[in-house]
This record gives sequence, structure tokens and C-alpha cells, in this order.
Amino acid sequence: MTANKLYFLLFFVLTKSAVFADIALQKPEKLQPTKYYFANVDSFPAYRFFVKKSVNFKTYRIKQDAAFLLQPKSKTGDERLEVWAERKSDQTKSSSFILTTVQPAAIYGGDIAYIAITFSIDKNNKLTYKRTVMKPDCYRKKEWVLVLFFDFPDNQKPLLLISILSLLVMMSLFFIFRMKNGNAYI
Amino acid sequence: MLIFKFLLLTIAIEIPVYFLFDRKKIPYTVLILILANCFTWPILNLLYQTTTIHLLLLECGVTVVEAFIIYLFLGQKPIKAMLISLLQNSITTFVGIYINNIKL
Repeated sequence: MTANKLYFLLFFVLTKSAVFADIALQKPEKLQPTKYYFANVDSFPAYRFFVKKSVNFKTYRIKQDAAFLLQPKSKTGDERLEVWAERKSDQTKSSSFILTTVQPAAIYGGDIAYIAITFSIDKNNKLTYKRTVMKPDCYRKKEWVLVLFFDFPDNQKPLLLISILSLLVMMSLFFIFRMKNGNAYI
Repeated sequence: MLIFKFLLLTIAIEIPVYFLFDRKKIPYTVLILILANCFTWPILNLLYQTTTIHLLLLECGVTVVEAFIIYLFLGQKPIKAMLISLLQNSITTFVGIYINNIKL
């Protein structure tokens, strides 16, 4: 009983001190390169559409099916696009919105997220939009990639090495004990 | 490296939990549990960091693998091995979730 109490005590002390602890490491919040397509510009002949890229502060006029790729880590940080419309008749600007890179998700099915933007403009000149994720055809196949071919970050490669070495040691122990017991067939 | 501190703490939690159930062949048991964690912990973290597989699903896999190791190397009955592994990994998982503020 005393030993049990000691083990419990040790366990609770360790748990309390395990402030970092299978403690799975926290997942870093990563962003993914994102390509935006503007799908229905021609549906609004009375308007001109513009984007301003945060990476170079340049303004571009959007044409039908124009695409802009945003990178999560550029020199100026995460890239953004500010989008607005301008009525041709009186050159009044609509409200604007900001497009950013997205967090990685299985739904994007690849290294780059492809998203189509469809605009809508109400009577008050308010510009709104709807996003549609464009999935590559091979989306389902990509979910089951062999672990060995994952592109692990360089600083985590020692982890894989430790894992492989531990497995080898365990297999060695297993065969040694089996040989000692005389029932190994190797 | 900081990340190995997490591995050491995982081992430090899981070994005492095993000894709540069985205290035979202590050095050998400790060696096997260290090796088991050195095998599963890096894989868990690599998969968690590089894929979108849910953490709890990964932990279920770790639990099954560690239960198999306990059964094979430490001679526990399958059900008991599963129970030990489940308890070990439940504790470390939820301590980790709490401490690292991981969103499930």
C-alpha cells in the first residue's frame, strides 16, 4: 500500500510539473498560398472592378477570369487583396473587402488553395462576394499519401530517426528473446 | 532541444502509470516503455504537424500500438495491455491538450 501511495504521489508530482507536456506539440498556425479567381466580372457591365495588392501597393483593374496568387510569407508579411468596384456612370466607389491567404484544409486538396470569387452589388452600391472552393480532380487520392513520402520540416527529421531507431531496437530485443527461448525460426 | 523535453515528460508520466498495474522486471519494463514512447511520440507529432488527421484519432493509433508493445514485450494479457495503454495515453493526451491549448 505504501508503495502504491508513493507511485501515486510521484505520478501527481510529475503530472503537475509536466508543464509542457504526448503530449502533442502545439500545431503552428500556418497559412497556405491562395489563388483567387474573379468569376463574374462580365456580369456587371456598368461597373469596373479593381484590386490593390498589399505586397506592392499597386492597383490593378480586374478582367473576367483574372487570377491573383497570394503568398503567406512575402517580404511584407501575409499578402492581401483589397477589392472594390467603381460605377462607370458616375465613378462612385462601392464598399471594399479584403481577401487573405487561408489556413490549410483538406478541402483545398493541394499546396495551393484555389478559390473563385463571385461578386454581387446591391442598390446601395455595396459590394459583397461569395467564395467557391475549386477542387482538383485528384482531391480524394491525395488524402492517402504514404507517410514515408511526406515532406517533413528539416528540424523535425531527427524525430523520424529516433522513431526508426527505437523500432529497430525493439525488433532486435524481440528476436533476441525469441532466440533465447529457442523458438525463433530465423 | 525543447521538443525532446516533451518526449521526456511523456515518458515520465507513462512509466509510473504502468507500475500501478505491474511492478515486475522494473529495468526491462522501463527500457521497453522508453522505446515504445520513442517510437510512437515522434510519429504522432510528425503526423499531427504535417497532416490534417485529428489529434484524437492519432492518439487512438498510438494507444493501440503501445498496447501491442505492452502485450508483446511485457507479457500482459491483451485486454489489460489495452487498458494500461488507454490510461497512459488518456492522461498524457489531455494534459498535453490542456497545457498546449490545443483546439480539438
